[in-house]
Amino acid sequence: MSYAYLFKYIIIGDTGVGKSCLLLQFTDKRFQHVHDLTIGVEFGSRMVSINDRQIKLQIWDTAGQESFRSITRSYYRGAAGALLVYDITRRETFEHLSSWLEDARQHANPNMTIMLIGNKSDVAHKRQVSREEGEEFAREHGLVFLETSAKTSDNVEEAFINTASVICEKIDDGLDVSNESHGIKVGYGAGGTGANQGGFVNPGAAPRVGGGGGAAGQCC
Amino acid sequence: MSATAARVCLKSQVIDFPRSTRLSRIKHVAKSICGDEEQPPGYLGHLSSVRTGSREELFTLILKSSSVDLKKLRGSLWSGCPSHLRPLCWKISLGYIPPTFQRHQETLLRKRAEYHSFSAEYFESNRVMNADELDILDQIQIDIPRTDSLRNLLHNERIKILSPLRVIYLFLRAIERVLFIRAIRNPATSYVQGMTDLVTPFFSGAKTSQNNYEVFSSEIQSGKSLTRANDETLLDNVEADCYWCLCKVLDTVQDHFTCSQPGIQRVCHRVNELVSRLDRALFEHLAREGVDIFHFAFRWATCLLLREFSGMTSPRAMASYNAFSFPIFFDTYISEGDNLSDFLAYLCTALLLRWAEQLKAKKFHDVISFLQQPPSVSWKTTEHVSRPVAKVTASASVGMVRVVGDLKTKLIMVCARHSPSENFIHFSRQKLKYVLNVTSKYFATYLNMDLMFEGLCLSGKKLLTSNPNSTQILPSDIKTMHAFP
Repeated sequence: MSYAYLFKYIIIGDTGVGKSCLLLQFTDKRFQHVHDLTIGVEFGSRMVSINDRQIKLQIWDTAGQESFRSITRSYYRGAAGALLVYDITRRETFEHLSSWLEDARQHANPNMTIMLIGNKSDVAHKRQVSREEGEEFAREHGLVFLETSAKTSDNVEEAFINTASVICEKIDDGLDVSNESHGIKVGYGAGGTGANQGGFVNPGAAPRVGGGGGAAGQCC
Repeated sequence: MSATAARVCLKSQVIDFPRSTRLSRIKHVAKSICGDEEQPPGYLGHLSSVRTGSREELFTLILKSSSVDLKKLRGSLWSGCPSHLRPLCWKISLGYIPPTFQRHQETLLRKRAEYHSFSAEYFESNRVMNADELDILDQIQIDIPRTDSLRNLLHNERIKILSPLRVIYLFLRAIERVLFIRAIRNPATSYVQGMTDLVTPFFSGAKTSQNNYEVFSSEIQSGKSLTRANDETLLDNVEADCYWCLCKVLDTVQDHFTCSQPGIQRVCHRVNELVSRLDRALFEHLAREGVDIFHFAFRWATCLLLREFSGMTSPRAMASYNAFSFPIFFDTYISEGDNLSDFLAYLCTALLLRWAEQLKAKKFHDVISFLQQPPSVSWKTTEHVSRPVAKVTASASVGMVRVVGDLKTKLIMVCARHSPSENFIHFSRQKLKYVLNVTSKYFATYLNMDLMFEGLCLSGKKLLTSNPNSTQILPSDIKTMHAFP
């Protein structure tokens, strides 16, 4: 299926916060009460539409355990977006956010869009981290924030799609899509508009397109 | 020296041998591998004897000796062992108990007592755990309920029917303690996710008969079973045995779990290298699509392919014999001992080659999705199959690479197991025997394992593609085999 852009995402955060369940809910629209624990990385993809543009999301779901950090770090490079997930019912997962963020800042490209996700919003009676705290943390670190429930699917679509919208805005603002480390690939067509030679993006020419503006790069 | 150069060199060595030497050597090797007619069954003997039910006799013969011949035991264990003998075979093969029969009981008593002293020490009620220990325990407690293989084990219908909730609880606590104590006593690896998968085979045991589900313990020989006896002493012993056996296996793959997992990286590189030599087109296709072996083989290697063969991890009734009623490759791992990692790389490679044609037709996304949920997850033996075909499939063997160390000559064998749901190639034992015979002649003088592997895969592949449905060796097959190298 043709797409205008492909965005690489990673999902990071402590083990057991629901990263794999978020991915499963987003790609398969289902919830698995118990998900086999992730070893290394797992992969999922889905097409989304942002302002009538088809965007393919290529999502790498990483293992949360400290021992796997060295392997998961290699996935930061070349990611356009990251979902940084914590569990609102386990305070320690919220407290570890800074170390995750530090890791991301160190190993990802500085243009990576990070969405902060407080997951398990359906288990409100066990909540240990308030929404305000999440918002506060996001504001402090310049992240976008959402509380989600992989179980009820509440805000799951939004988490992935809003991140894509932010990336689209960045492209419109001149993010260099030809730089591979930005985690963006220019696709071969946008909704059958004959994009190859048309007004959208010429993939052949893409490596030479410096920034936004002009005919190329108008995403959203 | 490049691979080709090495081969040329080896080839020339072969040619340089005087003819008589070469022939006698080949004869000798073939004899040692295939076994003499009058001799007790050698490796091939085992294969053909499985069907006639004498496999059990073979193991009984090996085990009843007052001092077990380890080499023989491991050789036989390689291709699967009767379920009820598995606990004993594993314990001896792993070196948990000595080969000398008289010392079994004494060793078991001592090792179990040793384990229970650890357990008493670390889980003493008024002992205060430090933060690291609490983290580890916490992690293990989070992970156990979300390990599919463990859940399968506990949801096994027999356990479910026969075990009160309490037994399941005790079981889980036992697994928790085993993993925790292992982590604390091995700070180099500590606890790494994936170990909950690896502990399963030790706890899972196997069906020893239609109505008997036994756990991994020598107690099974006295006819007790966990579900029946609900005996806490028994469970304690099982726990101790599992601990020591798990440790033995983890020790051989220690660097799979140390910082940055160098062992896993090595396996992945090895797979990459083997694929690049064995199926250039596949290798290039994967490279073109941007597929990195690490994307999937990391998990394959970490969990020793248990997840990829998850269909085999559930105990089940076997129609004809029970040698394969367990993840048989775990028998193989145990028998490989220190070569487990190498074998793992071969096994991963064999899987990739098996799916090569499918993979070559796929784009990046589909390749990754395919390999993360490969067809092997549904590979089973015969449990749901009531059709007559069951018997045939039960006696076939899985797509595996066999590495046999024999007289410093290694022979690698590719065989295939049929799965009813897959359009697999039936590889009859007769055919295997023949392939092994023919190939052993070619490879006898090749001391380099990789080259043999390469060669055998090539000839095996040709054989399979030229004649996929036949269970008979045709003259054209022989020609193919002879064409190599």
